[in-house]
Amino acid sequence: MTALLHLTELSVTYPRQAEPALDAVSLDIAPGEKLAIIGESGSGKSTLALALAGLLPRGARLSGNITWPSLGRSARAGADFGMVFQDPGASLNPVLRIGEQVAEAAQRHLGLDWEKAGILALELLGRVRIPDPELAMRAYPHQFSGGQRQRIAIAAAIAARPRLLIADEATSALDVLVQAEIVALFRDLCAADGMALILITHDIALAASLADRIAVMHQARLVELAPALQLVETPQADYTRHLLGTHIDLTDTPRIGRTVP
Amino acid sequence: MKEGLATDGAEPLLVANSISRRFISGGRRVTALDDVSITLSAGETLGLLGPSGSGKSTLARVITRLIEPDAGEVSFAGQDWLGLKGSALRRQRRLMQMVFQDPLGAFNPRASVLSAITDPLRIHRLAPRGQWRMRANALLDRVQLPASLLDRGIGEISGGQRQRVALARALACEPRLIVLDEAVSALDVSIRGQILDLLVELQRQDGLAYLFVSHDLAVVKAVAHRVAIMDAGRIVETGPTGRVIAQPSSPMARALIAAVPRLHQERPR
Amino acid sequence: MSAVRRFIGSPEGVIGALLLLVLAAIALLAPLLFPGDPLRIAGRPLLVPFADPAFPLGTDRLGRNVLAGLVHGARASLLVGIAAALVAVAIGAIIGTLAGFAGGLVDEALMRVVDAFQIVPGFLLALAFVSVAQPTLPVVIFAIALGAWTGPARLARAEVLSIRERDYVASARIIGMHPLEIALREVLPNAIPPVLALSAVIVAGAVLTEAALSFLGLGDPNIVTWGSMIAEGRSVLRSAPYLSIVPGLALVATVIGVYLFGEGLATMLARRDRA
Repeated sequence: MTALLHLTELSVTYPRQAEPALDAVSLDIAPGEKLAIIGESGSGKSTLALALAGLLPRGARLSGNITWPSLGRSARAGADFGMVFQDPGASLNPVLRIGEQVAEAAQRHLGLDWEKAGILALELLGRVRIPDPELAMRAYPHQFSGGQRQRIAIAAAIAARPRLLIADEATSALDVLVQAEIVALFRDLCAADGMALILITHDIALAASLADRIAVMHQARLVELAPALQLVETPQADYTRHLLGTHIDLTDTPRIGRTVP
Repeated sequence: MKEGLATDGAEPLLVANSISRRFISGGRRVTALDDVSITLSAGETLGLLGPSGSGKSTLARVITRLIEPDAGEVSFAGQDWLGLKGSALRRQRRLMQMVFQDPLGAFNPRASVLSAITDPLRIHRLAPRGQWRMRANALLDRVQLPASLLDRGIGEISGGQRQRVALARALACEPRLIVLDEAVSALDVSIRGQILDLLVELQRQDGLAYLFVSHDLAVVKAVAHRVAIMDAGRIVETGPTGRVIAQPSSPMARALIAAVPRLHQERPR
Repeated sequence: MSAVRRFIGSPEGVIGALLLLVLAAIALLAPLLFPGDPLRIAGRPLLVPFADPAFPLGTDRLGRNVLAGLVHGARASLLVGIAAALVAVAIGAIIGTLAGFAGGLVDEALMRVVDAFQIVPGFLLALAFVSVAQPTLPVVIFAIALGAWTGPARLARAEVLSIRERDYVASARIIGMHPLEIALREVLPNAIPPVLALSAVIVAGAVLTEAALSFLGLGDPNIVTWGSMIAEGRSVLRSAPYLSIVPGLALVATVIGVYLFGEGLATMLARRDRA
């Protein structure tokens, strides 16, 4: 099968930094695949997302190749891939109504007129399970909770029916209940549209519960890439084992039990 | 709901009774805390759990006297905690410290590690000026940081190190209770485990009490003796951590348990 | 140290700083470059620029050396601009910080005063003040500051209000720090830098206001300023436009220099915040 996205030896160095932030990363993403990229802060996982989206800061040096074999051309942001960030406030304009923001994405990338774009926006808000989409269309971002704002950002990101959604720590600012809902939403959207997902997260359990494959980043390098279950059950890289070892789970023995005086 | 757990007959360190607090938001009255009561004994950790907006951070801030409740009483270390004002309050604040979620936002950007740790020594005259460096070094050692960090700026150390410095600053006050408001949520997973181990070790050494506020049940389970589950400004369930996780009785406790991502689980396809 | 490096890293800042340095050097060296009164008659009137090497920029209607006027005018423009901005920022920062800290009625009262000053255009305020008082240099400086302090006041108040809610202020309260120390050590030093960055814009505005006052003949008549030179050239604008254009260009260069310098300053402060 033709890969959706193909990275070869991708490296990124930020200005005035000796060490690369991303060091010769190669990987493929298949259409419809859910790939999680995990790592701790400074591992290069967010740099990878920014490089994919063409959002690297000015002066960053990029080498290697990003190709979209299934498109046969370079990808356009918004149309071919959508992106959601940790802070949904960063992608929503505080002074525009929700309806306008979601419709604008559809109008720009699909060439719809305003009326059709509005109808699509309404449908999208329903798909991301915003209660009462009709009312939400006329509301402003500050009238929603953090979790709902993230849903709206997702609705805008998928408005043009992109082939890929990049979610950069999109659930880490949310509490566990809302996080579980957003994860379920990602799962449903991918299943319904055949959309691929790149989930960037520091949470290995979150990655394991959603992704088909997991890529582990450490010190700018890709240290392991394997199907999610296999990576969790039989990790190959030392660093993956370390991550699994430090993960705090409900099955762990409480630490207060360990140090009885 | 009233806290019902006996604590070996000894007077509890902290008793918060029927705390209520409302906010006016956009013309509407929002009840952040509705008749909430908790108790906490010396050497004990109480996990305060709930989704965002459940009131757990408001309760933490009422107990630390950062915001005032509309109603209720708090007794702490044998005194009427809410009755303290002005300089009397400032003197007693030493006994109840707090560590915040964002390790960067909790420090004056101009502070150095040294000034952050020695502020309490100066304010409460806990050591003569000549001994500050020595005391600061000893405190860094307690939170397992090298003395070489002492003269660094707060901006020059990592997030995990900053959270340890925040603990050292709290410890400098020689407190009896530390309120930890999502204190490990912003940290990388491997550092999170180390900080939790450190908290447990400090508690064992000093008999510190912790009020551990979090939305993450897995983390709370690692360190808390008891948990109180909050939902919409009320405490809906409380009990020993192991019991609440094994046999949750409230819908909110069940939801929080179900929402924890699991490494090995049946994956819907 | 690294702050200087960050400043040098921004091209706007460097260009602005160079422009200002040249202007400052000219202003400081004016008595050496052109000794004596720049207002005295030096040669034939209405000499065009580049005609006589003794008067590279020509002479005006009365035969005064335009270049000498320009160089001495830099003194007045920069002095008035910088002094007025200093006064405005000082008043604004004090009032704004006070309002932000005190809150309640004090805040309300002070901010209504700010409103009152803000609804009157700064230039009209300066105009009225100078017309009533004598147009001496200190009066002009104070008059310009009167219309410019509201911006810094609002900014300082907003900064104080936002910093008051930060965790590090809560942390200072938790360890039992005295409110006065919180105000002076935790809040104020972090509220001031953005206000300072605004001061560049105020200097630029003050230089322009001073020129406008002089143009209307409300400047100090005993000193030469760019505004008075432009006004002087106005009556012969058709026959000798250079008399207005040359000081006008000097004005533009100064304002651009100050503005670019301010941009560099703002970038420097912004990057420090992010670090």
